[in-house]
Amino acid sequence: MHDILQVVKNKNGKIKPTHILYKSNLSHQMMEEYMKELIEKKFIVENSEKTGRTYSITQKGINFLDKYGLIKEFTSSFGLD
Amino acid sequence: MALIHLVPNWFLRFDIGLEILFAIVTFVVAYYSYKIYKLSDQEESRILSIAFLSISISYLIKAVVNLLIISGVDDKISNVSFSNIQTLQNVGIFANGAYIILFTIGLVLLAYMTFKIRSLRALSLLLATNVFVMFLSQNKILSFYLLSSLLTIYISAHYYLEYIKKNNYKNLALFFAFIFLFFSGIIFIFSKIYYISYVIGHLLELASYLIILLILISAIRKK
Repeated sequence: MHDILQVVKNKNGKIKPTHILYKSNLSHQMMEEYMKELIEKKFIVENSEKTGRTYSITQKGINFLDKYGLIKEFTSSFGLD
Repeated sequence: MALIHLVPNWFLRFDIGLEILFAIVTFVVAYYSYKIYKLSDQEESRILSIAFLSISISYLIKAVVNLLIISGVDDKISNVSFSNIQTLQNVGIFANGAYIILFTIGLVLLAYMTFKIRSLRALSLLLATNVFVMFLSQNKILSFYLLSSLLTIYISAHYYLEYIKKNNYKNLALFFAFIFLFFSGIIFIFSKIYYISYVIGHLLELASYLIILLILISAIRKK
């Protein structure tokens, strides 16, 4: 999830699903599942454009990436991951 | 329902200080878990936060009750009044009930979190079973200590298994923290008979919460 979010952020916060698939090395089904979770958590938003679907990162997603070290350390320490 | 302990004179008030310290430590863990939940939207962090908040409030209530009892005893020496003692007794019964329920809720939530399943039915069954067994039991205090010890064993097992799986020494430290909490619960059972049990129980709790605090500090520092 972190890697996908990082990919979206690296693409100036806007990316097509095919690019995510290419960069993240995931199966299509796996990627769709992660994308669904990221949307549910409001880390990314889906945009419908003439050229197709794109995804962009939200402020909440950026905050998640900024504090990822803290989140990872906390969740692994307390056995939450 | 009264929590009766034999307390050495020299330990009076010191126990209240420790309970306030436990309330603070568990509150800080609850606060950081909530912060992690807000950042990550991870359900486990939210459960951890509510669990530690519940335990924190329970310790605060316990500390206030003990303070009331001590001031009540002091007051009784200078001014014996039946209604005062009666009121104190009623407050004590109510507050002890609140302490027991909140502490149990906290441990049930922690145990539920370790199962990594999300089912409101499973959680409500765990809660209802624990609360009903305690309140229908003739010796509620004994049931409380036995049930909380059982819950801490399950929580400890989770951290031990996590340690085996991930080789993370912090999980091992948390295993020991909950093992200390387990032994404190067992030892408190004997505090009706032995003065020293009450002291040892508190010292084991202190060791447990200090470990939890150290784990939290190390997690925050590594950001």
